[in-house]
Amino acid sequence: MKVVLATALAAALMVVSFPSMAQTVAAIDPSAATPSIDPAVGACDYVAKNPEIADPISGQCVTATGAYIASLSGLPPAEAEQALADLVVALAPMAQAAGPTCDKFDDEIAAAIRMAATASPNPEQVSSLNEIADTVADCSYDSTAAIAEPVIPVEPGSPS
Amino acid sequence: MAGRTPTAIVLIVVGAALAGFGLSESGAEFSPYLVAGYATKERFAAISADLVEPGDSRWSKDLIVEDCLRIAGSLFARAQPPARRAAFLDNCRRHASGMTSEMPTYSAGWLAKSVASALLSDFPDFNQSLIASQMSAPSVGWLLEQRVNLAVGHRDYLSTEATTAYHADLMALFSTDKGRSVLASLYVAHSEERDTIIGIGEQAPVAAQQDFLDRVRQLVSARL
Repeated sequence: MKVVLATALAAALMVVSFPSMAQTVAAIDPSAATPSIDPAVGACDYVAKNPEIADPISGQCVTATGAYIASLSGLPPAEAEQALADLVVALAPMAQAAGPTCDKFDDEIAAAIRMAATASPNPEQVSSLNEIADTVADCSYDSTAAIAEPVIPVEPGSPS
Repeated sequence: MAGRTPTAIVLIVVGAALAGFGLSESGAEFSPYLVAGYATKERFAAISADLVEPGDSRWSKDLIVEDCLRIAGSLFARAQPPARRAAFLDNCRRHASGMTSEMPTYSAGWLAKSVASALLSDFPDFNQSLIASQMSAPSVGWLLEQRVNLAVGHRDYLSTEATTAYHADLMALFSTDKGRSVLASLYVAHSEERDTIIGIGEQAPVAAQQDFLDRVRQLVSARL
Protein backbone atom coordinates (compact mmCIF):
# COMPACT_ATOMS: atom_id res chain seq x y z
CA MET A 1 0.00 0.00 0.00
CA LYS A 2 2.80 2.40 0.91
CA VAL A 3 4.62 1.55 -2.31
CA VAL A 4 1.47 2.22 -4.34
CA LEU A 5 0.99 5.59 -2.66
CA ALA A 6 4.61 6.55 -3.25
CA THR A 7 4.35 5.68 -6.94
CA ALA A 8 1.14 7.65 -7.30
CA LEU A 9 2.76 10.66 -5.65
CA ALA A 10 5.75 10.46 -7.97
CA ALA A 11 3.45 10.31 -11.01
CA ALA A 12 1.46 13.28 -9.77
CA LEU A 13 4.65 15.30 -9.29
CA MET A 14 5.74 14.50 -12.85
CA VAL A 15 2.39 15.70 -14.25
CA VAL A 16 2.53 18.92 -12.26
CA SER A 17 6.00 19.65 -13.65
CA PHE A 18 4.79 19.63 -17.30
CA PRO A 19 4.04 23.39 -17.49
CA SER A 20 7.67 24.13 -16.72
CA MET A 21 8.52 22.69 -20.15
CA ALA A 22 6.77 25.63 -21.83
CA GLN A 23 8.93 28.64 -22.34
CA THR A 24 8.15 32.05 -23.62
CA VAL A 25 10.78 33.29 -26.02
CA ALA A 26 11.20 37.02 -26.42
CA ALA A 27 12.19 38.07 -29.89
CA ILE A 28 14.26 40.95 -28.49
CA ASP A 29 15.88 41.72 -25.15
CA PRO A 30 12.97 42.89 -22.96
CA SER A 31 15.22 45.07 -20.80
CA ALA A 32 16.27 47.30 -23.73
CA ALA A 33 14.66 50.75 -23.64
CA THR A 34 13.63 50.84 -27.31
CA PRO A 35 11.19 53.56 -28.36
CA SER A 36 7.78 52.37 -29.49
CA ILE A 37 7.12 52.01 -33.22
CA ASP A 38 3.42 52.65 -32.66
CA PRO A 39 3.42 56.35 -33.68
CA ALA A 40 5.23 55.59 -36.95
CA VAL A 41 3.10 52.55 -37.70
CA GLY A 42 -0.05 54.50 -36.83
CA ALA A 43 0.87 57.34 -39.16
CA CYS A 44 1.63 54.95 -42.03
CA ASP A 45 -1.58 53.04 -41.38
CA TYR A 46 -3.50 56.33 -41.59
CA VAL A 47 -1.92 57.05 -44.97
CA ALA A 48 -2.74 53.47 -46.05
CA LYS A 49 -6.41 54.20 -45.36
CA ASN A 50 -6.15 57.60 -47.14
CA PRO A 51 -3.71 56.92 -50.00
CA GLU A 52 -4.62 60.18 -51.75
CA ILE A 53 -2.50 62.07 -49.19
CA ALA A 54 0.57 59.87 -49.72
CA ASP A 55 3.77 61.80 -50.38
CA PRO A 56 7.10 59.92 -50.56
CA ILE A 57 9.05 63.10 -49.80
CA SER A 58 7.21 64.79 -46.93
CA GLY A 59 4.19 62.60 -46.18
CA GLN A 60 2.97 61.72 -42.71
CA CYS A 61 4.34 58.18 -42.89
CA VAL A 62 7.81 59.29 -43.95
CA THR A 63 7.86 62.10 -41.38
CA ALA A 64 6.78 59.85 -38.51
CA THR A 65 9.29 57.20 -39.59
CA GLY A 66 12.04 59.79 -39.61
CA ALA A 67 11.12 60.87 -36.09
CA TYR A 68 11.16 57.26 -34.88
CA ILE A 69 14.54 56.59 -36.47
CA ALA A 70 15.94 59.73 -34.87
CA SER A 71 14.76 58.48 -31.47
CA LEU A 72 16.91 55.35 -31.92
CA SER A 73 20.15 57.30 -31.83
CA GLY A 74 22.25 56.25 -28.89
CA LEU A 75 20.99 52.68 -28.87
CA PRO A 76 23.61 49.94 -29.01
CA PRO A 77 24.05 48.68 -32.60
CA ALA A 78 22.39 45.30 -32.01
CA GLU A 79 19.29 46.92 -30.54
CA ALA A 80 19.18 49.55 -33.27
CA GLU A 81 19.32 46.78 -35.92
CA GLN A 82 16.45 44.93 -34.25
CA ALA A 83 14.37 48.10 -33.87
CA LEU A 84 14.82 48.90 -37.57
CA ALA A 85 13.93 45.32 -38.52
CA ASP A 86 10.75 45.50 -36.43
CA LEU A 87 9.84 48.79 -38.14
CA VAL A 88 10.33 47.44 -41.67
CA VAL A 89 8.43 44.23 -40.84
CA ALA A 90 5.53 46.41 -39.69
CA LEU A 91 5.58 48.78 -42.70
CA ALA A 92 6.27 46.58 -45.73
CA PRO A 93 3.10 44.46 -45.54
CA MET A 94 0.99 47.64 -45.50
CA ALA A 95 1.97 48.31 -49.09
CA GLN A 96 1.00 44.80 -50.17
CA ALA A 97 -2.24 44.90 -48.18
CA ALA A 98 -3.24 48.21 -49.78
CA GLY A 99 -4.05 46.39 -53.02
CA PRO A 100 -2.56 45.48 -56.40
CA THR A 101 -2.44 49.05 -57.73
CA CYS A 102 1.06 50.46 -57.58
CA ASP A 103 0.67 54.02 -56.36
CA LYS A 104 2.20 56.82 -54.34
CA PHE A 105 1.51 55.01 -51.08
CA ASP A 106 3.87 52.23 -52.17
CA ASP A 107 6.43 54.92 -52.96
CA GLU A 108 6.02 56.47 -49.53
CA ILE A 109 6.38 53.13 -47.76
CA ALA A 110 9.46 52.38 -49.88
CA ALA A 111 10.90 55.77 -48.93
CA ALA A 112 10.28 55.04 -45.25
CA ILE A 113 12.03 51.68 -45.56
CA ARG A 114 14.99 53.32 -47.31
CA MET A 115 15.28 55.73 -44.40
CA ALA A 116 15.44 52.72 -42.09
CA ALA A 117 18.08 51.15 -44.33
CA THR A 118 20.24 54.27 -44.22
CA ALA A 119 20.03 54.32 -40.42
CA SER A 120 21.24 50.74 -39.95
CA PRO A 121 24.75 50.39 -38.49
CA ASN A 122 25.18 47.06 -40.31
CA PRO A 123 26.09 47.20 -44.03
CA GLU A 124 24.51 43.80 -44.65
CA GLN A 125 21.22 44.96 -43.15
CA VAL A 126 21.45 48.19 -45.17
CA SER A 127 21.59 46.07 -48.31
CA SER A 128 18.71 43.77 -47.24
CA LEU A 129 16.43 46.64 -46.28
CA ASN A 130 17.17 48.46 -49.54
CA GLU A 131 16.23 45.30 -51.44
CA ILE A 132 12.94 45.20 -49.56
CA ALA A 133 12.38 48.89 -50.39
CA ASP A 134 13.02 48.15 -54.09
CA THR A 135 10.48 45.33 -53.97
CA VAL A 136 7.88 47.57 -52.37
CA ALA A 137 8.55 50.39 -54.84
CA ASP A 138 8.24 47.98 -57.79
CA CYS A 139 5.14 46.34 -56.25
CA SER A 140 6.84 43.01 -57.11
CA TYR A 141 5.79 41.25 -53.92
CA ASP A 142 6.44 37.76 -55.23
CA SER A 143 10.13 38.39 -54.78
CA THR A 144 9.84 39.23 -51.09
CA ALA A 145 9.47 35.53 -50.40
CA ALA A 146 12.38 33.48 -51.66
CA ILE A 147 10.20 30.43 -51.86
CA ALA A 148 6.46 29.88 -51.90
CA GLU A 149 4.60 28.58 -48.88
CA PRO A 150 3.62 24.93 -49.12
CA VAL A 151 -0.04 24.34 -49.98
CA ILE A 152 -0.12 21.19 -47.85
CA PRO A 153 2.73 19.77 -45.75
CA VAL A 154 2.83 16.29 -47.30
CA GLU A 155 0.65 14.73 -49.97
CA PRO A 156 -1.01 11.47 -48.90
CA GLY A 157 1.04 8.45 -49.85
CA SER A 158 4.06 10.45 -50.87
CA PRO A 159 7.47 9.09 -49.95
CA SER A 160 8.86 12.47 -48.93
CA MET B 1 3.70 -13.90 0.53
CA ALA B 2 7.33 -13.03 1.37
CA GLY B 3 8.35 -13.60 -2.27
CA ARG B 4 5.77 -11.25 -3.67
CA THR B 5 7.07 -8.04 -2.08
CA PRO B 6 10.51 -8.06 -3.76
CA THR B 7 8.82 -8.91 -7.07
CA ALA B 8 6.41 -6.01 -6.68
CA ILE B 9 9.27 -3.64 -5.90
CA VAL B 10 11.20 -4.77 -8.97
CA LEU B 11 8.11 -4.31 -11.14
CA ILE B 12 7.50 -0.83 -9.74
CA VAL B 13 11.12 0.23 -10.24
CA VAL B 14 11.21 -1.11 -13.81
CA GLY B 15 7.82 0.46 -14.53
CA ALA B 16 8.97 3.81 -13.15
CA ALA B 17 12.13 3.65 -15.26
CA LEU B 18 10.12 2.89 -18.40
CA ALA B 19 7.67 5.67 -17.56
CA GLY B 20 10.55 8.08 -17.03
CA PHE B 21 12.07 7.14 -20.36
CA GLY B 22 8.68 7.54 -22.05
CA LEU B 23 8.17 10.96 -20.49
CA SER B 24 11.61 12.03 -21.61
CA GLU B 25 10.89 10.94 -25.19
CA SER B 26 7.50 12.67 -25.05
CA GLY B 27 9.20 15.84 -23.88
CA ALA B 28 11.54 15.73 -26.87
CA GLU B 29 8.63 15.08 -29.23
CA PHE B 30 6.54 17.93 -27.87
CA SER B 31 9.33 20.46 -27.32
CA PRO B 32 9.06 22.00 -30.82
CA TYR B 33 5.42 22.76 -29.99
CA LEU B 34 5.97 23.94 -26.43
CA VAL B 35 9.07 26.06 -26.73
CA ALA B 36 7.48 29.00 -28.55
CA GLY B 37 4.22 30.25 -29.98
CA TYR B 38 3.00 29.90 -33.55
CA ALA B 39 3.71 33.34 -35.03
CA THR B 40 6.63 33.79 -37.41
CA LYS B 41 8.38 36.11 -34.95
CA GLU B 42 8.27 33.52 -32.17
CA ARG B 43 9.27 30.56 -34.36
CA PHE B 44 12.17 32.58 -35.79
CA ALA B 45 13.30 33.55 -32.28
CA ALA B 46 13.14 29.95 -31.05
CA ILE B 47 15.12 28.48 -33.94
CA SER B 48 17.72 31.26 -34.06
CA ALA B 49 18.27 30.95 -30.29
CA ASP B 50 18.69 27.16 -30.74
CA LEU B 51 15.81 26.34 -28.39
CA VAL B 52 14.21 23.77 -30.67
CA GLU B 53 15.32 20.18 -31.19
CA PRO B 54 13.41 17.67 -33.28
CA GLY B 55 12.12 14.49 -31.67
CA ASP B 56 12.41 11.08 -33.27
CA SER B 57 9.08 11.18 -35.09
CA ARG B 58 8.59 12.40 -38.64
CA TRP B 59 5.86 14.65 -37.24
CA SER B 60 8.20 16.73 -35.07
CA LYS B 61 10.78 16.93 -37.85
CA ASP B 62 8.15 18.25 -40.27
CA LEU B 63 7.30 21.05 -37.84
CA ILE B 64 10.86 22.37 -37.83
CA VAL B 65 11.36 21.87 -41.57
CA GLU B 66 8.13 23.71 -42.35
CA ASP B 67 9.19 26.62 -40.14
CA CYS B 68 12.58 26.76 -41.87
CA LEU B 69 11.07 26.66 -45.35
CA ARG B 70 8.37 29.19 -44.55
CA ILE B 71 10.55 31.70 -42.75
CA ALA B 72 14.06 31.46 -44.27
CA GLY B 73 13.48 33.65 -47.34
CA SER B 74 10.55 35.64 -45.99
CA LEU B 75 10.43 39.41 -45.70
CA PHE B 76 10.51 38.97 -41.93
CA ALA B 77 13.78 37.06 -41.98
CA ARG B 78 15.37 39.29 -44.58
CA ALA B 79 14.74 42.39 -42.43
CA GLN B 80 16.29 40.87 -39.30
CA PRO B 81 19.76 41.76 -37.98
CA PRO B 82 22.16 39.69 -40.08
CA ALA B 83 23.65 37.87 -37.06
CA ARG B 84 20.24 36.56 -35.96
CA ARG B 85 19.32 35.62 -39.49
CA ALA B 86 22.59 33.72 -39.92
CA ALA B 87 21.95 31.90 -36.64
CA PHE B 88 18.47 30.92 -37.84
CA LEU B 89 19.83 29.60 -41.14
CA ASP B 90 22.73 27.77 -39.48
CA ASN B 91 20.37 26.01 -37.08
CA CYS B 92 17.94 25.15 -39.86
CA ARG B 93 20.80 23.64 -41.84
CA ARG B 94 22.12 21.72 -38.85
CA HIS B 95 18.70 20.27 -38.09
CA ALA B 96 18.11 19.39 -41.75
CA SER B 97 21.53 17.71 -41.95
CA GLY B 98 20.73 15.56 -38.95
CA MET B 99 17.32 14.63 -40.31
CA THR B 100 18.58 13.67 -43.76
CA SER B 101 21.37 11.62 -42.21
CA GLU B 102 18.71 9.61 -40.37
CA MET B 103 16.26 9.59 -43.28
CA PRO B 104 18.08 9.88 -46.64
CA THR B 105 14.79 10.01 -48.57
CA TYR B 106 13.42 12.93 -46.54
CA SER B 107 13.02 15.28 -49.48
CA ALA B 108 11.61 18.20 -47.48
CA GLY B 109 14.66 18.02 -45.21
CA TRP B 110 16.99 18.14 -48.20
CA LEU B 111 15.07 21.13 -49.54
CA ALA B 112 15.35 22.97 -46.21
CA LYS B 113 19.10 22.27 -46.26
CA SER B 114 19.33 23.57 -49.82
CA VAL B 115 17.45 26.77 -48.98
CA ALA B 116 19.59 27.47 -45.90
CA SER B 117 22.80 26.79 -47.79
CA ALA B 118 21.76 29.08 -50.65
CA LEU B 119 21.00 31.91 -48.24
CA LEU B 120 24.31 31.28 -46.45
CA SER B 121 26.05 31.40 -49.85
CA ASP B 122 27.25 27.78 -49.54
CA PHE B 123 26.50 26.96 -53.16
CA PRO B 124 28.12 23.50 -53.38
CA ASP B 125 25.81 22.29 -50.60
CA PHE B 126 22.87 24.22 -52.12
CA ASN B 127 23.32 22.24 -55.33
CA GLN B 128 23.89 18.84 -53.71
CA SER B 129 20.89 19.19 -51.42
CA LEU B 130 18.66 20.43 -54.24
CA ILE B 131 19.58 17.37 -56.32
CA ALA B 132 18.96 15.06 -53.34
CA SER B 133 15.54 16.63 -52.77
CA GLN B 134 14.60 16.14 -56.42
CA MET B 135 15.81 12.55 -56.49
CA SER B 136 13.97 11.59 -53.30
CA ALA B 137 10.61 13.13 -54.32
CA PRO B 138 10.49 13.82 -58.07
CA SER B 139 6.71 14.27 -58.27
CA VAL B 140 5.42 15.73 -54.99
CA GLY B 141 3.57 18.93 -55.92
CA TRP B 142 4.51 21.36 -53.19
CA LEU B 143 8.14 20.26 -53.18
CA LEU B 144 8.32 20.69 -56.96
CA GLU B 145 6.99 24.22 -56.66
CA GLN B 146 9.39 25.22 -53.93
CA ARG B 147 12.41 23.64 -55.64
CA VAL B 148 11.63 25.44 -58.87
CA ASN B 149 11.25 28.78 -57.08
CA LEU B 150 14.55 28.16 -55.30
CA ALA B 151 16.33 27.25 -58.54
CA VAL B 152 14.97 30.30 -60.36
CA GLY B 153 16.01 32.56 -57.51
CA HIS B 154 19.58 31.22 -57.65
CA ARG B 155 19.86 30.45 -61.33
CA ASP B 156 23.40 31.73 -61.65
CA TYR B 157 24.62 29.28 -59.00
CA LEU B 158 23.06 26.08 -60.34
CA SER B 159 25.58 23.36 -61.20
CA THR B 160 25.17 21.28 -64.36
CA GLU B 161 23.64 18.42 -62.37
CA ALA B 162 21.33 20.76 -60.43
CA THR B 163 20.21 22.31 -63.72
CA THR B 164 19.26 18.83 -64.90
CA ALA B 165 17.24 18.36 -61.69
CA TYR B 166 15.60 21.76 -62.24
CA HIS B 167 14.60 20.80 -65.79
CA ALA B 168 13.17 17.51 -64.49
CA ASP B 169 11.07 19.49 -62.00
CA LEU B 170 9.80 21.77 -64.78
CA MET B 171 8.82 18.70 -66.81
CA ALA B 172 7.01 17.23 -63.80
CA LEU B 173 5.06 20.48 -63.37
CA PHE B 174 3.69 20.12 -66.90
CA SER B 175 1.91 16.92 -65.87
CA THR B 176 -0.63 18.45 -63.44
CA ASP B 177 -3.16 21.29 -63.48
CA LYS B 178 -1.59 22.94 -60.44
CA GLY B 179 1.85 22.48 -61.95
CA ARG B 180 0.83 24.20 -65.17
CA SER B 181 -0.54 27.13 -63.15
CA VAL B 182 2.81 27.39 -61.37
CA LEU B 183 4.63 27.30 -64.71
CA ALA B 184 2.37 29.98 -66.16
CA SER B 185 3.08 32.28 -63.21
CA LEU B 186 6.79 31.59 -63.56
CA TYR B 187 6.65 32.26 -67.29
CA VAL B 188 4.93 35.62 -66.81
CA ALA B 189 7.06 36.77 -63.87
CA HIS B 190 10.49 35.64 -65.10
CA SER B 191 11.22 36.56 -68.69
CA GLU B 192 14.72 35.06 -68.41
CA GLU B 193 13.22 31.59 -67.85
CA ARG B 194 10.81 31.64 -70.79
CA ASP B 195 13.07 29.95 -73.30
CA THR B 196 13.83 27.19 -70.78
CA ILE B 197 10.17 26.64 -69.98
CA ILE B 198 9.20 26.57 -73.66
CA GLY B 199 12.05 24.16 -74.42
CA ILE B 200 10.88 21.77 -71.69
CA GLY B 201 7.22 22.25 -72.63
CA GLU B 202 7.85 21.13 -76.20
CA GLN B 203 8.50 17.65 -74.79
CA ALA B 204 5.17 17.58 -72.95
CA PRO B 205 1.92 16.20 -74.44
CA VAL B 206 0.13 18.62 -76.78
CA ALA B 207 -2.86 18.94 -74.47
CA ALA B 208 -0.58 19.97 -71.60
CA GLN B 209 1.17 22.53 -73.81
CA GLN B 210 -2.14 24.02 -74.90
CA ASP B 211 -3.41 24.18 -71.32
CA PHE B 212 -0.20 25.91 -70.23
CA LEU B 213 -0.54 28.51 -72.99
CA ASP B 214 -4.17 29.12 -72.06
CA ARG B 215 -3.14 29.76 -68.47
CA VAL B 216 -0.43 32.18 -69.57
CA ARG B 217 -2.98 34.11 -71.64
CA GLN B 218 -5.39 34.24 -68.71
CA LEU B 219 -2.68 35.60 -66.41
CA VAL B 220 -1.58 38.22 -68.90
CA SER B 221 -5.19 39.31 -69.52
CA ALA B 222 -5.83 39.59 -65.78
CA ARG B 223 -2.84 41.89 -65.37
CA LEU B 224 -3.83 44.27 -68.17
